[in-house]
Amino acid sequence: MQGTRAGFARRSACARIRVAASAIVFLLYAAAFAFSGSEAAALAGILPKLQFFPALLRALSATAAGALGGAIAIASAVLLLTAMFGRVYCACLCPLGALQDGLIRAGRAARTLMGRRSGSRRAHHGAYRRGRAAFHAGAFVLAAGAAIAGSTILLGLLEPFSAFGKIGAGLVRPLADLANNGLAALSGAAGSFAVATVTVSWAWARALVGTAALFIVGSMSLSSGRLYCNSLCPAGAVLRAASFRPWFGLGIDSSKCNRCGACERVCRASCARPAGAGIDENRCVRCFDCVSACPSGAIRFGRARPAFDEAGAAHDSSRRRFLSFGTAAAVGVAGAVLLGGSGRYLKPAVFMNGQERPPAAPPGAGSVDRFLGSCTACGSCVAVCPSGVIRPAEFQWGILDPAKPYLAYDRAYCQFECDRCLRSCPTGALRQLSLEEKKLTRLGQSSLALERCIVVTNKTRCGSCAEHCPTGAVSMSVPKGGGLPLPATDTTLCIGCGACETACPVQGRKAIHVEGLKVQDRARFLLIRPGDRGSARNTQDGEGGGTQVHGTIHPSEGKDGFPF
Amino acid sequence: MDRREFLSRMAAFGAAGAALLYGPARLFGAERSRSSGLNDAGEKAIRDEARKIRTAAAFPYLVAVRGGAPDAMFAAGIAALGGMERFVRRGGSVVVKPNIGWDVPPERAANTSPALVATVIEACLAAGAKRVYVFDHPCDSWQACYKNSGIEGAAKTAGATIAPAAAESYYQEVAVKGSKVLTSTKVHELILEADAVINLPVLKSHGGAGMTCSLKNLMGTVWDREEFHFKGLDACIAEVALAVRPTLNVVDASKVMLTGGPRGNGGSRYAELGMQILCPDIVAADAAAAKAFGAGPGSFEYIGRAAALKVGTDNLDSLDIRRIVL
Repeated sequence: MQGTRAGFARRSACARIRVAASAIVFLLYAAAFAFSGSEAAALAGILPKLQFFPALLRALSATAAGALGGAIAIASAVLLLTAMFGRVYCACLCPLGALQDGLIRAGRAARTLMGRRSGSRRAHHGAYRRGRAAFHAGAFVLAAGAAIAGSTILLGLLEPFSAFGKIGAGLVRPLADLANNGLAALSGAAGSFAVATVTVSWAWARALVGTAALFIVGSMSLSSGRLYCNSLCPAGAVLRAASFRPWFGLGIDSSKCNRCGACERVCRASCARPAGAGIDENRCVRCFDCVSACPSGAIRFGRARPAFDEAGAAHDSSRRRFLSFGTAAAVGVAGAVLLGGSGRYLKPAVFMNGQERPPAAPPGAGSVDRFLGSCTACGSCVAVCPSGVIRPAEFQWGILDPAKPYLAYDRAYCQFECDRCLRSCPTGALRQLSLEEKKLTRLGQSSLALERCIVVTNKTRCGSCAEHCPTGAVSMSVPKGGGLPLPATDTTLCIGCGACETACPVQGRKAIHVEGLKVQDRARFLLIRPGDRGSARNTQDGEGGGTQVHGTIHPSEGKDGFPF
Repeated sequence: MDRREFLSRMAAFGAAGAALLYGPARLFGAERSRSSGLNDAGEKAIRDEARKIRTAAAFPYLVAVRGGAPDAMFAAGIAALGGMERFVRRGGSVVVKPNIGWDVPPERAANTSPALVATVIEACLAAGAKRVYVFDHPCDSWQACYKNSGIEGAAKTAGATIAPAAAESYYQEVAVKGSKVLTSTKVHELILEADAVINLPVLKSHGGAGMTCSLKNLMGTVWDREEFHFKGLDACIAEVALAVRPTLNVVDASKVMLTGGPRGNGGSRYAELGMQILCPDIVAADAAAAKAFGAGPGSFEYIGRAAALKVGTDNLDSLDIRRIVL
């Protein structure tokens, strides 16, 4: 063997394709988060939806036939692909898998470097590990079962796209913003505005969640290769079952094999058995490094049926298998019931954080229960939000729903003409409302505390709240006794976008405050009909946003028809 | 149309002649605008002198046009004012500052008409401006405002550079001389560097200030908008005009939002006023706009405050107003 980084002379054709595909996928998904603040947010509206587990979740929560069809098509395509060729999805379509492969590669390079210093040429992942399918199945039952029972906390932690998204929204995006601002400074120095300085979307909660996800996945992959994918990943568990006997497999030609063990040493899934005894198909993530590493060309990807399955099964008696799977399933179900149940029990106690109402959820959430029941905190909506009003929660949703998005109105508000968040949601936690529907969806409700309003306290004209209100729910009017105009709210028109609260100039606790709703219902809206002078607040049928002209100015009293 | 074109051409020739005659005034004009926001005593004297020469010229103090499309009204109005050459120095840089405050489509008239923005940019470039910048510090998400207002597209096509303004790094702290409330504020660097600032407000109702027009539009050149509300909206709107002094104000009063402004909502009422007001004096422009709005300068406290600060005059009766009906 020549001493290349991975311990093999040249990559096999399959491995080269895998590396290229996973590099493209990784770059696309990283770009979707890095540029999620720009026009490329469209990318973030498509890519997350193509992922396997989000598609499964979306299929479960879909209400529209089109969405259901799309989700089922994606999930079945991945299952079919896996049944035919093994876990190629894990190899090069899962961005978290691609990220792990990148880390594994970096780790190998580092080890080779250090190994060379100490005179060793070993650069590998180590030895065969037993499958521990029962543990993986138990983890899946626990995570999925808890989600069914009412808490998606484990699914959110373990589901690979959600983990990747946490890294993307928490770390990739702020880093990309910083890089953008560096470029903007350079272009500004050259007198150009080609690159605009942006507000860096940095938030401690986001960064912390992203760092935690990166640390867990990163440390596992650096120490043990693709162990995460074969012990904790719920998508991996499903695809593991689907790739039990793939149509195309990795077969070892025992007449060529010289039992050198190169395949075992390079296997990132630790699923190549010692001395060329075969490859555990269901754990194989199709990196094809074994094919590249085999010095005698004994390993081939093709129709040849690998011979190890029976041999492998012989290690475990069927009784033992039954017992271990049964125990895992029982523990999983028990844990899931406990977690889901306690989620339900704990939520009302801690969720409100001393407040009467929940925080506002992003548009399309439907109800708090529905939303928290299907959101896996993947961070897609957080990343694409142009105003930054969507933030991952610390404990605003209670201790069992950390990192799920809520609307933080202190510095930003939900943009009336924007529906990027619900377009980007891959799990169906945010329903695909049309923009017109979204504009009428009540996310929260404003309440006014006039005693804090600066018109009252400072005796100055303001009206910032009414200025920003997109629906006419906040308006300014002179009180009966005269004086400066004071704000008033019509809560039936309020959609809880938070523009008023953000704009309120009161320092500290604002004079107008928006609280979330347990159920996002529909607001009334204003529309002037032709011939409908004066009385503006009476209709709500038809389409919103009319701009009919009902002028009351008659510019005829001055010279040449000018009033001056 | 031919006759109208002939007349406006003649007016333009007249303006060119006047510009030759009043060459020093043109130079002073350039000098004046370059020093916007950095007024010390010497420059102020030069500026006052320039203003005297300019008002002594044959040009009207204020031009109001009605009855045409935004570009036609502007062509007639600017010709009557002496042409864009009077306000824009050859080879100079110009900021055109429309209202791009809201992410709403042009027909909502919450932002300046893109057609007007485009025609003003073209006039600046035709007058020899080297670069024309367009920006606003909007309320809604800035990329959406720029794009959906139609102004980004129109301005780029017309040959201007769309500049960002939604980051504090673009702003520089400026002392506001002569102010009582807004002692200093952060102003967009392009305003401070420009040779000329063309203020391009849209006339509409405003929940806080009552009416928004030229003076209120300057709020989009500063970073800290909240401060205006907190310190006193009328006082700050008046005082910011001490720091940011537009060379020319062109008021878009084609379609005027009467209620529900500045953003507007489904219940907003409108008037098709079909008017444009052009005036180098920002206070006079707003005083006329207030009348066009169906009120008067006295209805909006900030106009009187700005007049008291000697930013301009709100007494329209004493002014040479040219009224053009297309």
